[in-house]
Amino acid sequence: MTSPFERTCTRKLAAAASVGLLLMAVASCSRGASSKSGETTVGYSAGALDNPFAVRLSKLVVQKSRAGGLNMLSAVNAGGDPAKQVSDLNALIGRGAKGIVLHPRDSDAIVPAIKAANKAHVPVITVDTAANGGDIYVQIRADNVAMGESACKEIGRLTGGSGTVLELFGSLTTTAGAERHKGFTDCMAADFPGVRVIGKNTNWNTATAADTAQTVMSTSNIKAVFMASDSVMVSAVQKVMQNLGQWKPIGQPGHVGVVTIDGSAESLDAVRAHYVDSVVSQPIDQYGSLAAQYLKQAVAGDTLKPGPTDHDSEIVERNGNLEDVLPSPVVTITNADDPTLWGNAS
Amino acid sequence: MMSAEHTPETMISVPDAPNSGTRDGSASDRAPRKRRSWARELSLLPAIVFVGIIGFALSANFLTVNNLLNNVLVTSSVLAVLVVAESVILISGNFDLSLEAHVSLAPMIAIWLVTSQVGGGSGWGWSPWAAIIASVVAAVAVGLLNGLLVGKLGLNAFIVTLAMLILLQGVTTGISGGATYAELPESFVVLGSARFLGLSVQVWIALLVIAGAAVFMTRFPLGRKIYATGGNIQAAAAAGIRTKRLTVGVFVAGALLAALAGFMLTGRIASVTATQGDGIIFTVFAASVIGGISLDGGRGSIVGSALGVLLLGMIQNILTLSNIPSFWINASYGLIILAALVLNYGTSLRTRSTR
Repeated sequence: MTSPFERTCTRKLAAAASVGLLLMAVASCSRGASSKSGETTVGYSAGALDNPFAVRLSKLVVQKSRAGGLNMLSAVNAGGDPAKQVSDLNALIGRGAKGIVLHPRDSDAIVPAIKAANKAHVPVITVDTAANGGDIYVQIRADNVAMGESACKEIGRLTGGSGTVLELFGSLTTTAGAERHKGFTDCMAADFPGVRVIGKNTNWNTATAADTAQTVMSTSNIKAVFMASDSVMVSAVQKVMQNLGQWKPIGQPGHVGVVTIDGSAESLDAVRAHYVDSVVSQPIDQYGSLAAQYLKQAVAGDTLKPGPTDHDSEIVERNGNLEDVLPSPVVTITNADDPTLWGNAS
Repeated sequence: MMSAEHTPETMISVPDAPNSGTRDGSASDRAPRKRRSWARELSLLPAIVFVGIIGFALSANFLTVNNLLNNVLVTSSVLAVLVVAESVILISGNFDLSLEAHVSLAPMIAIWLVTSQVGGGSGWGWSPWAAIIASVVAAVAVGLLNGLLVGKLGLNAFIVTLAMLILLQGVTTGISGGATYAELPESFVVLGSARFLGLSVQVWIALLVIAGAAVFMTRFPLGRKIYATGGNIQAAAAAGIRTKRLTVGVFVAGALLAALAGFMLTGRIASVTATQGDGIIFTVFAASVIGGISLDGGRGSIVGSALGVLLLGMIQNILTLSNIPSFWINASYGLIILAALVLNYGTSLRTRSTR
């Protein structure tokens, strides 16, 4: 029932009121993280720490960097405010960070902050979301458009190129939401023109996903469902499909195909239980270890060159910056137990 | 006025009766005034018909029994319970923003007490029902605290409940660490799948809450005292109504209903997330006000605000069924609400002029 414009509003109210407390918290954190002699000080700036993905990412980068012998300061949280992320970055430089990992909230709004870091000769690395300007040591990201395309190919395989498909996509004002949607719909239109796609915006909201699935799946004959984020949607949509009698194991009559992106523990369990057909898994764990590794190289003054890497990806140049674009594996019943998938960790 | 408790009939005319635009109603003109009050209460009906026609024009799937009973009503149930809670508080002349926080906090406390440490819980291994009761007790405690701060200390309800909202959301995030719990005991999800007489229990709960509150507010002396307090707190106090105790009471009742709404939502999405219900308070206020509840207190009816919920639920449903491009969904949502409000204004003008 909630609309997106309402959500941002409360967030802002809450954020405004908690900024004071946050500053105090950040200040007290910094006191605790006094520099050990000999270790290079580095920092991590999060665009927001309001979802499991961002929380896990920040923990991983901090943890792996510290394990790698760097004096990583406690993660700084911009609370969803691109302007605050700019001042966060300047504050990190002021506190002596010699290298910074960024998880940008906004690809464009972060550019001035990166330019400020460039002036101070502090190398910057982005994870997950790329920045659209400034000199960046390397941008570590997964190809969200390719994730949407992988999902499209799985949907095409499951439907045999005909029927109606429900696409539950995420907020189009986020890169992940917009790019997955684009990758999916462009590929469907080009490769499977016989499939009718009912695309609905969930704004990454669990209740909205449930409401939408309930309404569409009870009124239209849906052959397969594509969820742009299983960590947000899979439990809710499973419940709706169970109530509608459309949650059947693969191979049984009445089975509705399910394809998701993210690769949460729940989605992998559902693959193993033969209910979910395919999951496109995000390389979060790789983000963490690669960010730490590149950060070490950056502060040591090593330079990167385009070309294949030792972890099944290729470093490419885009808009004057290097990018390490990580592949996102497609998980089906045959490889659902792969221990390198983040959903299988812990 | 001390006789008010013994002769509830007279309470209708003092100082502010449910839905009465007139403040001077006496026993003699009770019948016509009552008819007018019904007209006022159902003044959203033309807007609902108008939206229904739009829905019929936009999608062949809209005007079907299946869609109306299983989609529109089911997806509106959580909102309906919250709107009843907020309406009672608004009628009493108060304000509670923190209701939204209970939607995630109550299920979060319960699941945290149940879940093992490995699963991100407390590791105390409470039985599901004990955990649910504990979370409801916590909700009552919060309602009590809100009520005492606002009612007894006389602090501004907006600020108190805004602070409480931030605090409770913070507690929810703190307990969960931003995680989502998807492995729930059966008792947590039963509200999402159980059916009674062919209809989801979500709908039955919402209907019961609406009917119970409507009868309570109009037929019971205590309900009328809530109207009286919201209409003019000094007059109500002078008339012998214990306004402070009553304020505490509505906050507690509101918190209880909001916690119930939280468990209803958890049943439907088969998970507990730290952000569930985020932002829903705006929709709650929208439905209440569209349904005729006055933000100044003392006026409006439960039936009216329930119709407000129905209207918003229908619009959401139509937008989901229609082929409007996603980029334009929000614009369409706002536009239809505005159109319905203008239509409602026109109808209520006519109602007023026949008086």
